[in-house]
Amino acid sequence: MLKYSIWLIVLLSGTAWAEKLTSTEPANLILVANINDTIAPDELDVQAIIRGDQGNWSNGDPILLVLPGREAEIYEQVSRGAFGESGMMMQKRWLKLVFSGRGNPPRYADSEKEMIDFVLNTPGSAAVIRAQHHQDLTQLLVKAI
Amino acid sequence: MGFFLSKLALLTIAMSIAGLPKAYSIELPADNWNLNIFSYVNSHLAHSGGYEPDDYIELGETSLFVFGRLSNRLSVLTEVTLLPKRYREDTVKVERLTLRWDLNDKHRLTLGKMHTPVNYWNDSFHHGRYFFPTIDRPLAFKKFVPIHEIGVRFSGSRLGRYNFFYDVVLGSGQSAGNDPFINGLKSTTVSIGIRPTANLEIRSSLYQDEIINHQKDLEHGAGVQTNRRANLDWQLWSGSMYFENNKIQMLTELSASRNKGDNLNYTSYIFAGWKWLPRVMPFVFADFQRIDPKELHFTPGIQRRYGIGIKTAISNRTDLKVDLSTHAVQGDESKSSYTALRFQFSVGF
Repeated sequence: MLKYSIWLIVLLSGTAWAEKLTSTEPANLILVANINDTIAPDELDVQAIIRGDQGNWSNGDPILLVLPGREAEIYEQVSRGAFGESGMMMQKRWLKLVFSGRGNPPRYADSEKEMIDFVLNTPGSAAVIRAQHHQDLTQLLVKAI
Repeated sequence: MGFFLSKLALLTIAMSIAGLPKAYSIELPADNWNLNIFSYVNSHLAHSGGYEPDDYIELGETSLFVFGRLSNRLSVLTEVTLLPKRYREDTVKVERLTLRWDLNDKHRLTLGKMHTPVNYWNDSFHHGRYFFPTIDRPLAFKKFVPIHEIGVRFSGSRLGRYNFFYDVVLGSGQSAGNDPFINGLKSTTVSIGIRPTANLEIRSSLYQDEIINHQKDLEHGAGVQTNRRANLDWQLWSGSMYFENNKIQMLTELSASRNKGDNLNYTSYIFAGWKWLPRVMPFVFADFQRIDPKELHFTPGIQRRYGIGIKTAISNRTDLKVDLSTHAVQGDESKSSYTALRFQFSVGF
């Protein structure tokens, strides 16, 4: 039986080589948030928000977080830059968080543009995007990650 | 009451499916409703040892999970499991049905049927095998971990420098089943902990309950006979430590329980996994449980389970866990053990 077990483990490990990653080049990331309250960027706990430890703004309203979906060009960049793990693990982390009852379900977008549009048009929302869009988003609260 | 809970939970799920079809996919959640489905299959293909259970392939429970936001501060959560009659008498079971009110960004109030926050496992993985680090729950779950509770829960998190968190649950007790407070307020859970870094969580909890007419309770297995109508006070302490970064995942669950008399039962579960590749994690685990010979309620004895395994993400929504494990059981007059190659295919989306 031990022999079969070892063969099986070797076989399963082969699935790892099938991993196909989208762009993983490091990028400077920022958190953008559409919040009306006068919250200074320094008061934002970015890590707590993007990891789901903080589910509500300081006024009690829910944080509507939008994350890159698998089709988004920044899927791996955001997951590796903000979470330090693959996109698949980022989604699984959030799935677990929602299932535990502690987190609000995030929205997944198919592109960075869709993420930005969502935040611009949705009060209470937040997203992690590349810093190069910073100048175009003066109406949002912006904090570097 | 149980029938009512089932209908209410199914109605919530039906509403989310009928009105919000986008909720089917995790990547396209509807604005206010979110539906997730989890399921699994177990198999047990080879074995050896003094005690040899039959080989099997069995369907595991399918869990339907719905989260709905009713207003900015009010949300509802349901988890219903389904299993064919051949595997379980109740084909539909309501595992969780809660109403949560976010008092502010750090404190919450929750009402309904919930998982007790006695340890990390029960408060995080619930019925989702897709998230379980090992194929089985720790041995303690088959004995004295109170999985569910109907009651009121006060929670807080992100308090202070070390991210202190707390949960206090005032519950109906294990003997009440699905009938809220049928025996009055019987159980209390106090759980506290810290998350000093994004990777580490440490918690400790105390749970106390009164088992009504414990010798008639389904879990009763002790040979010691007492007054036929005796209720039994018991307490459970639990401690958990969970660590995960991009290289390793570790979980330790400790617990000790006692009831009237000078008995002390304890369990320990340790898991460690190494994220060898993005989709592959070899792991080891060991689980030990000792029920005191003087125990008045649970069946006395010692159990050990340990093994090695590997967890593989076959796709973004499916996992396969394989382990080679030994399970040894030692009772007052009997002893048995077996080694098995086990598989668990789980899915979550």
